[in-house]
Amino acid sequence: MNSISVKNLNKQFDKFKLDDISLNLKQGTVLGVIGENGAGKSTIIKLILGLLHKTSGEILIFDKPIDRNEIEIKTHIGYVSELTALPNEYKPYYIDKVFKNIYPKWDSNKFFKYLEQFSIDPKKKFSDLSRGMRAKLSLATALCHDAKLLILDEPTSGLDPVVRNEVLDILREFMLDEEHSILISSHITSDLESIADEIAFIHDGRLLFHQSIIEINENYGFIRCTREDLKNIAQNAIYATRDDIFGVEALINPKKISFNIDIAPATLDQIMLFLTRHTA
Amino acid sequence: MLAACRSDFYLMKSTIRAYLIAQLFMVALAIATNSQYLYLFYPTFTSVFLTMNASSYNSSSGFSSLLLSSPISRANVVVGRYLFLLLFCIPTIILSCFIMFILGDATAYEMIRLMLICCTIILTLMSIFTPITYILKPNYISVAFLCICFIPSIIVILLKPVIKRSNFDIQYMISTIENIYNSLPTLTIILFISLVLLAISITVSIAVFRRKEF
Repeated sequence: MNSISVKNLNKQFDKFKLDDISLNLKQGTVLGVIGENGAGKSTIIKLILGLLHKTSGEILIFDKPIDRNEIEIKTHIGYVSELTALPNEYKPYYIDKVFKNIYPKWDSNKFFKYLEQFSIDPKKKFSDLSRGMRAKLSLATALCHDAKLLILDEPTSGLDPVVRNEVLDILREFMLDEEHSILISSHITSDLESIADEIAFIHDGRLLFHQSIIEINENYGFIRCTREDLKNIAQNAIYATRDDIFGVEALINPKKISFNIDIAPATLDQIMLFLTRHTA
Repeated sequence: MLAACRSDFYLMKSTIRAYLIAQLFMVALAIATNSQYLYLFYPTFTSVFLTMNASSYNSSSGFSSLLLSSPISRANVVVGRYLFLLLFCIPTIILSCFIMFILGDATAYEMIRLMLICCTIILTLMSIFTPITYILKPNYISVAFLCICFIPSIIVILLKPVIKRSNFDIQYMISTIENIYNSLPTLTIILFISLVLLAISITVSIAVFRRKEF
């Protein structure tokens, strides 16, 4: 069963176009969406949630079209947005008062337990909460109604490493249930490397690849060599290169290298950097 | 629908508190100066300010995205907003009229008449202003509200010389309006018309909000 299935999704804005995106998030897995700022990650998430209207394409959640089953589907979705902000005077316990009447399976005890765990005073004003606490509050809101699918838009953006790690731990705990899935967008690729099963790379509104972490490790390698050494490598094995004062750095396909050379596994950061900024 | 209404209430809780304190102050001032106008002006026009504030709070905070990611329909969010505005404005005006009556500043007939007039004004203002908050971008809403508030007075000022030159009997028009406001059945009919206007306003707002993107 697919938790999310996006087919040929298009969205046209005045100055930006999301171009023919197809993605799959299988039940029990984590799909990380990476890309630069403005690549279209948040647009995809907003289209999936119905916050934006698609130009064309199909979006299925739990194998049902979102347009026709919106209320039923959203009962099982928890959403965390990077930009979730509330008025300065808003207090965390108001969230419980509002959402317990919206989500049929909202668990107030669980919500306040999370607040306690995150050291968030339910009666503290939103303006007095740190950025980390606001992120945790969003996460607590998303986790308290027995959601099967979490959609997280840059949940760790702007957080210090300690809080980021805490957030990732909560997500790992959520994934202990095999029915649960997560769609997470981030440009902090190290977070995704530690949690995602599959990665979709969006660049300038287009999907550059959608592969599992294992496939990425098999298909992308990183070498540092001289210009002369690079000439010995078949052109179809090189994705992109970058000159620096010490020689050349290249993102290559290790499967297409026939001779012995030191190939380091490419990080998602390197893949992003090479595929968007440099050419073969 | 009630959940969306409740959501707006919590979003606006501190503003509501401030409005109520201001309203108490106005009532005290009205008692001191024995002015019916002061009793009713503030709660009547609160509907306009509250509509504007509710819209700007939602758009500036991004709370709409969070709310719409939950299992609540866009139509319910809109109806919830109207319900919230009505639940605040109508009881406030009824309470103000009742205080006037208790303190002897209005007779029972006047109390009912003023309630009907103010409720009609509130419903009409709400019907005009609320769809505007859904149609316009947040930056333009306050400009549009100012225009709607001031343009009628500017038109009246501009028309004054024309009215003077013509044989238009403005006194007759004023006495006709007074007659309307003194007749409870006519006021009830006007109130009913404003309810129809409100229903149209809600329909327009829902249609606009359904097309809106966040």
